[in-house]
Amino acid sequence: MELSSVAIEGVGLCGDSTRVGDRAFRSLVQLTLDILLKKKSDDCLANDEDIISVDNASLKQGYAGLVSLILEAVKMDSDLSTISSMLEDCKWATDRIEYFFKCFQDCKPEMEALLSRFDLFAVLLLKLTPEIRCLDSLPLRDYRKRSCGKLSYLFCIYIYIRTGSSFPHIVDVDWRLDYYIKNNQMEKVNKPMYLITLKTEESGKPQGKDVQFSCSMEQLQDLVGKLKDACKSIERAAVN
Amino acid sequence: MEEVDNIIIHTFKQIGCDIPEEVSSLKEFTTALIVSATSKCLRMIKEDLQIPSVLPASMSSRFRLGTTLATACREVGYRGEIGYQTFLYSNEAEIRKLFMFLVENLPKESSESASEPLGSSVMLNRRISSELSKRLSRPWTPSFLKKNNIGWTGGRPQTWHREGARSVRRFCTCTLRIPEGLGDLTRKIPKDVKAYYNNSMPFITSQPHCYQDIAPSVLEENSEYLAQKRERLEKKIKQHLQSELQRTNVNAAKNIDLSDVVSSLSDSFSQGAAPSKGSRFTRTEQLQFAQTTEQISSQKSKNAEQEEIYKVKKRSVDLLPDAQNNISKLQSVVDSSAQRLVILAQQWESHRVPLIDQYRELKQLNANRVVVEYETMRKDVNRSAYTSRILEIVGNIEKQREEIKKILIDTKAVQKEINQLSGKLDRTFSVTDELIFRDARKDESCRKAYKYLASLHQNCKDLISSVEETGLILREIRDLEDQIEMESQKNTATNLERITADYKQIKDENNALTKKLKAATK
Repeated sequence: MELSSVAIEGVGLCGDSTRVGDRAFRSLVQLTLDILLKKKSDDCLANDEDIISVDNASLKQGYAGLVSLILEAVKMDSDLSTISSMLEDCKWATDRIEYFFKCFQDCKPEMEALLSRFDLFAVLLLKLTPEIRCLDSLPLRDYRKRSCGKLSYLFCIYIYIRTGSSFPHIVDVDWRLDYYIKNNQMEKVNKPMYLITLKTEESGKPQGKDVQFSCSMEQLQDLVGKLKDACKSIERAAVN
Repeated sequence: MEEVDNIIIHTFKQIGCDIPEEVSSLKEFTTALIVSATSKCLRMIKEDLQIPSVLPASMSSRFRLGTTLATACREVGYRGEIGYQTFLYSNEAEIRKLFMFLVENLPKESSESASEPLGSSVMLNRRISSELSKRLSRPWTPSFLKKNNIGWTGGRPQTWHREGARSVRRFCTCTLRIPEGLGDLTRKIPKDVKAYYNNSMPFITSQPHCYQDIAPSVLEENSEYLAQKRERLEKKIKQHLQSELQRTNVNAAKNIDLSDVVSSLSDSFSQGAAPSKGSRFTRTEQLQFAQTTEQISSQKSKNAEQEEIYKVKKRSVDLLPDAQNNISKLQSVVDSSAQRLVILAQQWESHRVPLIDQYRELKQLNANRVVVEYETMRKDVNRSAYTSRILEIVGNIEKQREEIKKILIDTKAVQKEINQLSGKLDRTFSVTDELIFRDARKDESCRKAYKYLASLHQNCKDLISSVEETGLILREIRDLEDQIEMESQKNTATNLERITADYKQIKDENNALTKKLKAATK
């Protein structure tokens, strides 16, 4: 885990007991975590009685350093040893390290959930574009894999760049079974027909578009069979 | 049964129980052997069970050991009846069942992961599969029950998972401004900048347009800074390497030690080269340095040769003035060295012979060992023989089943015939009975005939009933014989004797202990 030098300076400021006293330190850590989890807004940083003792410019740099540290630690899923070695390099006292780590661990699942909502996949794709060239190094018998891999890869990138969002996700399904009795040309048809509505969600939009279609029983069986195959392959991957 | 015993004994020998060579069937297993084999098997099945494998001398501890073994077997899953008596007063059939169960439950060789490569890709795959299995086991909840598409499960600490895409946001960043230089007290920050930092500059979390962009902006800022740092480092390394190469090319003749050059490089860059691009640089520098090292080493070897030649020539030139003396001296030296060579050769001969004998012996031993291993290997190959025998037995059983079916059909047919005949008999008898009785009232001979008929009927009935009884008794005899055989296998008499002896022993031990206790409390 590496931080920029300005952030490291800020973190060092937080650990410096001449600039940030003990009580100010504790409330600073708590408030930072609360602000990042959107429980409070950062006006309370200016209004909190313990933090008033810290001078404004150092507070802003220290706060920025702390925010960078927390977000990088969540991104890299760092454990106690990495974080404490980095904080020791910034000359933090052991009790401050322990206090910080305890508060951090308590909030870690929520912070991870928060970070997960970003379409980091798109960022990764764009950053890994030079790695498309590594597909050329695959041996010749993977030629088909190579070309298919490249094509689907490029296609995904295209979609991301154009629309800024991924494909819609299916979250729910409604079904209706109709019985097709007759029509104007046939006196007796007597076929069951399924009307399926797939409810979807898309990123950024409050209401997703529904996908509606009708199908016969055989087609529905086909679809369910394919879904079951997909489930089985996931279960097989889960077992290995 | 012998094959089963052989397999069991072979497996025990493989897991390490020392079974004496004469024991070839389960009948010959002593109590001590049974106990040690069972405890070894249990230890292999479940690692944490601590059961002593040696039969203790005193009766009460033997009893305790028996009960612990029995409870352990039951824990591992043995379904049959088991108790201390199975181990201390054993009988062959029960022991065979128990050993078969234990041998089946021994951990298989293939599933023992001796040394799995714990590479990072393997760890990643394992994490992926565990996460997938966790998500598969979760029940489905509708999407409106998940705030921001996150579902939470479990107690403290809770785990989360994401479903649906409504709250997924684009990774939007914006530039952030942070105060700099406040940690360094020696640096002078201009007054107006300081005023800006103190009064107007917003907090880092208020700078992005919306709250959701804070995390992306901070992460992007960090990674940008790191990417710039890396580029600067690579440029520096490149420049330094180029300058060093110039210097070493000039100084090749002076035999500069290349390790010094490399260490000077590493000293000046204590932070270490950037990982990915650095590898390319190390490769180029290795190539360059390799060429110069080759040149240097060839030079060195040439130098050494020249030195040798020079030394020899110098010595001979020195010896030249006092030529005659020196020649005789040299001659004597040559003679003495030739003699020494001869003596050494003799000594070597005397050493060589015993060594060669030793070598031949070891070769023999090795050959024997290989033969023994081959024989033990042959036993494993016996599996095909076992499987063919099993298939034979299965075929035999099929044939027997067919025969049993046929016999059943025959029996049914015979029963039907019996029923038909007895029915016919009854009907015929009733008809004749009536007929003769009607005439019997008038005629004397008819009355006699009637009496004869009645007695005939009675006697035949008796005959039939006695035949049936004989059949019944024969069947009972067969059942009783089977029961006798089973009971005799249980060795009840010998076990009873042993139990009474042990009971007496326990009683004596108890008495001794109570006496000791009384003596101690007095």
